[in-house]
Amino acid sequence: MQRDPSDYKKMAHDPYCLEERIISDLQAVMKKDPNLEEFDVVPVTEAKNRSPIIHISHNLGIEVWCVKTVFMYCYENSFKLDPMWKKEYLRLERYTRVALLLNPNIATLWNTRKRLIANHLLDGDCDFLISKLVLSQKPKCVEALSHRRWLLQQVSLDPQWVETELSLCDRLSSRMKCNYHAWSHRQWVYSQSLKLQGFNLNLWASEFEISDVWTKFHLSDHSGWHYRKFLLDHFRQNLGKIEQNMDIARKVLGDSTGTATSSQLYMNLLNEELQKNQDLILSFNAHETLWYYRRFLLQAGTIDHSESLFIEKCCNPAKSNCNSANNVDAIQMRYLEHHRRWLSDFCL
Amino acid sequence: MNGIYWSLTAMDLMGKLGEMDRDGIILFIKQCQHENGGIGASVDHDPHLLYTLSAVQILCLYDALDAIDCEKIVNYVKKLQNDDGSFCGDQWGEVDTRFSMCAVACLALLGRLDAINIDNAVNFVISCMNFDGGFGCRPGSESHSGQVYCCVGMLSITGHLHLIKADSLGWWLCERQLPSGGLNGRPEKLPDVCYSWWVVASLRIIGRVDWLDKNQLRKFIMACQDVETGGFSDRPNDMPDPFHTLFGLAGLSLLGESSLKTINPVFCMPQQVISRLKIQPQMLSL
Repeated sequence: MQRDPSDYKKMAHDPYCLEERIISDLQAVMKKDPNLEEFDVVPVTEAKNRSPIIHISHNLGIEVWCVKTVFMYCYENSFKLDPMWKKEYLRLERYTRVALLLNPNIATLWNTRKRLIANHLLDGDCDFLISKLVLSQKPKCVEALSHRRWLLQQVSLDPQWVETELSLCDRLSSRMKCNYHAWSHRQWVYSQSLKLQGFNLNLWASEFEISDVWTKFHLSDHSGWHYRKFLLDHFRQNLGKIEQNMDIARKVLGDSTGTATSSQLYMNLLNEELQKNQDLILSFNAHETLWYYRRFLLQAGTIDHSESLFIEKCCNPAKSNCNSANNVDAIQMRYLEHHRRWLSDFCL
Repeated sequence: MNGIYWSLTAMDLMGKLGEMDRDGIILFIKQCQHENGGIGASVDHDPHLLYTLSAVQILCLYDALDAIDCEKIVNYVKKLQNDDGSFCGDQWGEVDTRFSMCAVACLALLGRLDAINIDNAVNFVISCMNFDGGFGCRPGSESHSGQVYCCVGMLSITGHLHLIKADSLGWWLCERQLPSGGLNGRPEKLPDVCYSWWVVASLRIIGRVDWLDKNQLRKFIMACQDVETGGFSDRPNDMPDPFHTLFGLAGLSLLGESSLKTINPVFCMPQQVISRLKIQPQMLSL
């Protein structure tokens, strides 16, 4: 279906035009079901005698045949309405919402919504839902994540906000490997919660545990490993605070002796990580991420003379205790070479 | 706006800038400038440092900075600096080291680096350096070749390259080269032509470009050129686009391709334009 863009403004006053009806259907679903989980475009290429908006068990779909005309209609009108004039903000809200669902990379339209929120013409709840739906379809969408960070600093926060954001991050990182934006958002959420509530060892321990499981299942995901480094660095930076809560620290870190200081707990953590890393490198061939994580652990303070023993085991996996060791191949040897060079530079 | 910058710079590298509509483009840029001095992605779009830099770069290619109000741009950039030295991309507050690069590159091209607090700006970028020598978008963020380029470029423009761990960073960047010859942006990612710009330009600025296998990289970039349209794609046999076309050509120019103009590794613009503006960003050598 083709329309002349100059018609869009005229049509905006006709509630019965096709585009308006589709937008209303979409708006109605979002209002009726605030627990929507996912949004996507459904490959139905021809109009049938029914609404192109699909709502099945908390999922929202739109048939592809109408996407172009609905988007163009909403986009054109989003730029033509003045929110301060004749209460047009209600329509502006409608159009930006649908335009962003269909094309979330247009920062200006997110900004239009920010202006509405900042002027108290719109509350932020709907934007948490829109950005969540956008991210369900495009898990790397930086504009949507940035909009959420802005919202989280503007609106009064639900007590569950940290949990909600972290579970959103879980979904985004699982859907797209090495999702820089999702992990940056996770770091931001973690840091923001510290800023608001102070260092919280339970949150740290829960994140460290989640990251342990996550990295095991996603060995190749450098962003996941980076988050683990970030958490370890955070532990180190807060040794003083941890020292004052050693009863909790010993409990969450399972220190049975009950005598370790926070610095000793930190070294224990690093050494455990180094051992796990060795097992992974010997069991799973050619994962560059594991080698980088090892460098981090070594420079963080675990380096000692046994590194040459480790290198020997890598060259000769038959000698290792790890039965599942694969054949050493060219890529693994390449990483080993990189590791040797890094070591010689580091030890200089 | 970014699209125009990518396309025009690509054309200029091939000596074909004259084939583009100079007047139309300059008029477009004028229409994209806002009252606060910032420039938007397109007409009616909000201003942002990303597009403000592209617009200034385009005007420099055309030697037409007098077409817009540069003093207003300087003020716009200046107002986006935070107390910790970082820069917001626009009025909504998102901070990223990319914006630090946009800000200083923009001001350097306008000859007005004095407008901001350079020491704070440098300190913020350095606070984003990781143990591996790389840089991320904010303090503590994962190293990423694109962010590395922005931070290295920023430190080059401001003359603070001595603060970089050049050897660590150099090796980290070289380890981005894969057996295909192509470069990735982070460990265990696929190669992409755009990293033949971000990585090689960074290596060039820190004087360690010889650590790469240049022949292999050249072969990879060449394999990304689409035989029908002539454009470059991210990887061989994908769809070409202006973004990858510029960074493919820019990479080839850095590798010494004689049929292209020499490119400046910091500004990603022809060296003759940077020389005309009498800008001399710092470079390290081994």
